[in-house]
Amino acid sequence: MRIPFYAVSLLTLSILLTPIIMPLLISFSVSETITFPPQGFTLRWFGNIFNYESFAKGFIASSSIAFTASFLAIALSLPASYVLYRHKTLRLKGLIESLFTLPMLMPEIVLSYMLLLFAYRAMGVISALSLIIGHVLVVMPFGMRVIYASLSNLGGDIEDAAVSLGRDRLRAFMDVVLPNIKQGFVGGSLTCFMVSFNAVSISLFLSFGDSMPLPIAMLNYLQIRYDPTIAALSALLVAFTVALSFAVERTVGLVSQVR
Amino acid sequence: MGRYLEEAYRNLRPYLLAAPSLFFVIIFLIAPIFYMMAYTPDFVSTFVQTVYNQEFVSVYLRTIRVGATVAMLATVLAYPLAYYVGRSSPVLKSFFKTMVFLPLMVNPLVRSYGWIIILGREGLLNSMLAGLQVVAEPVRILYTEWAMELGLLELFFPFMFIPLLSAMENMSEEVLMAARSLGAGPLRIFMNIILPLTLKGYVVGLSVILAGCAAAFVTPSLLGGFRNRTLSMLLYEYIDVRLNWGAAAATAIIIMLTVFSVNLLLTYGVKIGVKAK
Repeated sequence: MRIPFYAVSLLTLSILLTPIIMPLLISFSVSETITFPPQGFTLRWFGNIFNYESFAKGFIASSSIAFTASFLAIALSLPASYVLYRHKTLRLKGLIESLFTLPMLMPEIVLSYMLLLFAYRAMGVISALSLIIGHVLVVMPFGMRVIYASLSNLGGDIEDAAVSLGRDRLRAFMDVVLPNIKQGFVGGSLTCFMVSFNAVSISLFLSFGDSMPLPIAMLNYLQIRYDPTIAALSALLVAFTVALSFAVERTVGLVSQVR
Repeated sequence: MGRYLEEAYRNLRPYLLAAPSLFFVIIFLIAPIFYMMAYTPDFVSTFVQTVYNQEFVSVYLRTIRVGATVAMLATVLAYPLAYYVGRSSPVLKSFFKTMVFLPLMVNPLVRSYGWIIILGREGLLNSMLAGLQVVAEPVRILYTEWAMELGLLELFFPFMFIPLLSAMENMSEEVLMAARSLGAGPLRIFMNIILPLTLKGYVVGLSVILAGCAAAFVTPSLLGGFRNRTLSMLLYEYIDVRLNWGAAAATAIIIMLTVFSVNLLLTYGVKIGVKAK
């Protein structure tokens, strides 16, 4: 019983973790091509990141897209999840729910193409805006799930108590419900931010010039060369995302979100 | 009069609250599907021409084959691991959960680059094989279907493992002990107890993997290379290289239909299967 367990865990963990560890190792290597074992020690590749303009610009573009998209997604999901939680017997509830599961099922690359045609061509929307629309659609399911979960943890009694004591619905929601789901709010926003920051395929056909997100800049770089600059950047990004996910873990816990 | 208005408002309120997000989804997700079809001149014949085509069929079959292989590999790894982890100590459990979650936080692009480092001509695997003198020449692993499948396995494994683990955690030890004491062998225990109790979680994982492999772009394009194109890569090529937007629309519809039908079949298949029992 022990030995098969060790074998399966070793195999699985090495499949899961080596691809994350390898960029870290190679990012300090002196050699310009990928060689094993990595030779020497240099910080040159980390410096090189800043010589390549698209990366700095991409970081700013990605951060602002992720910030705006998470904000909009949370603003849209808050009333929607409230309705789904508080009005369990609503007519058309099935239809509404299946409309909300669509963005989760829709392949990002297909959505990207459809938004290129629709938002960019038909509506004359500028690129940055169609990027944000796409990212909102991608992250909205995550926001909804976290907020719905924290609303159901809270339950409806406390709100009803406030209403029966004379508050109107809106005030009760603002004063009683909102402070109590603060955690889900923060966790949901952080999750949305991270998902948007890491999303690649949705931006494929929607990024031009200055509004090119970081992952697209990296993809373009990878199509030309494999030198350790991309490894150094990956290392920084791993540090960035681990720090962010640590923040999420501290506020809500990741494990509860995926189920 | 005021009373009627108030009542009407109260009945409408939930719809009003849901309206902004519903409109967002309808305008920017559902309308574009129809717009895409309308935008393509003579959509039906373009669709037929794109799909009835040897290149398209072989790409489609490869996509399905890759998805099936990844699903199989994930099953073989996730079932035993979830079984063992599910009945191990809390410390070990949280260790495994963290380790499985960690990759989810890292950009898929970075992870694909990690695979390039591992599988490349002078990568980790080839230098290990050469060091052990297993091979004289570097083996070509990168830019094969295998590389693509490994990358996708790593990408989607957590989505199979987590639901399986929570199903295993809910399974009581007594049932297994009872079966064992009544003389059931490992295979019988798996088929008659573990499988039915974990089927729901398994199907969730399965649909994520099959749909995900049909729709993934970054991992297959970086690891599979041009010769091993999948549906999403073909879509990209139609848009960016061949500038054939009609064929792109047809491919997009096929990807969408594949993903949706995988999900529908698996969810309803299980519901019907459970009812029949």
